[in-house]
Amino acid sequence: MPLPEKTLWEEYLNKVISHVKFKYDRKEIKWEIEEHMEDMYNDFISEGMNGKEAEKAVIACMGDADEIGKKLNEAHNSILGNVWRISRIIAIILILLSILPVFVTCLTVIFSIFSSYSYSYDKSQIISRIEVNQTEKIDDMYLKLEEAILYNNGCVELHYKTWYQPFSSSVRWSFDINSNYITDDLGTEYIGSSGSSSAGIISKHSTVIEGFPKEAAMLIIDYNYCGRKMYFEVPLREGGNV
Amino acid sequence: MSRKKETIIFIVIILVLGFWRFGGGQQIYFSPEKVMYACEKGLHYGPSEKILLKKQIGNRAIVIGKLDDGLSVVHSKRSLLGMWKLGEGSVTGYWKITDNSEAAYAPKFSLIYGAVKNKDIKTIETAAAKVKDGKLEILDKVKCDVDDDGFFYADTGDFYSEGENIFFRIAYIYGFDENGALIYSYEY
Repeated sequence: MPLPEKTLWEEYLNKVISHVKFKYDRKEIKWEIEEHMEDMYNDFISEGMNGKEAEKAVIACMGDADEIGKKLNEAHNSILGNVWRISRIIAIILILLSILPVFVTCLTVIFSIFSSYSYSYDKSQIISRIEVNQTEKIDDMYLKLEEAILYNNGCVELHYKTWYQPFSSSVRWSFDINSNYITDDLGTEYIGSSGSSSAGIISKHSTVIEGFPKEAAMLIIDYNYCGRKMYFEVPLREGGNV
Repeated sequence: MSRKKETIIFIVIILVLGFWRFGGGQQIYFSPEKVMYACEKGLHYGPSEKILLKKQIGNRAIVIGKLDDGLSVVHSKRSLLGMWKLGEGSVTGYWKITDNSEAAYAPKFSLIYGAVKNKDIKTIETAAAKVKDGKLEILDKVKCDVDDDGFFYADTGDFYSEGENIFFRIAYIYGFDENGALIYSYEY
């Protein structure tokens, strides 16, 4: 069925959508109403009307263009429309910007969960192993000293993990307990330490100091730097053979 | 889905991702000053009592904060959407002033800065230098006043260049009292 030239319709539709303040919806509204009008037109033609009559009948059935336009404007609220449009654009930009970091974060979380501590010496050399499981906090970083291991060569290995509190705004630097903060109940000063750290949301660290005296019983970690303090006492001789 | 529900979902996405991406979670910050404070927290010193100097050149900025016994020096660079993140290379961070007066030269920022421990030093004379293949070349001599915080700085010319055997440093530092008498000197 050939459709009318729609000059009348075009005027009618333009009048309707002129009331819709949210301009981004106008095209869709126009398209939907036009489709509806075409259906009506075809019905009238099949009922025996000629083209001109059907065209006028459709407009008559549709009703007052101003009234419809005002109602459509209420339904397509321009404030909500603009908020919707802007928030959609920002959300899309953020999603695009976050795809790679989310992927990397997921990988580091998985790595953090499944990584384990490294041991500097063979486990058969372990004299005692003390489970400490004490957690301290400096700024917005937590440090949990999990265990201290005494080897028969006089080395002590500390296993601890660090993580930042959720939504921490800190620049994240690796943190290690070094020999500057380690002593024992005899007051020994340890010179130099070695260690390793894993990356991730939860970093796992190993620190090794050498020359823990046979007479010493307690390893002391006394971190005191720029007003931040952490203190651990580890009774290393109480761990028993492992 | 209605537009209202979609808008709520978009706003939730913006809040969650925005906070995660720009609220510090991704270590991207609103200003070089925020980078400095976040860096101080991460390195477990500070926070600075106040910002002594902020100098921006292009997409890079250096911020110097005042600490009890020294300076906090952190450089940053512009990131996405006008945000800032920690600059590349080593970060000075906490700089404890132990001598009468100490100075540093930041060639990328055409800047000499430092602080005095000796409160009698009121004026500083110092020089930026380049060491190339073991030879020292004075690039710029500057004289600047020490402020009430014991801080001093001076802009230098743009002498920055990259090369395997090039590094930049301070050549010497002279400290003068309020009468202009030399009371401290050190040649590096």
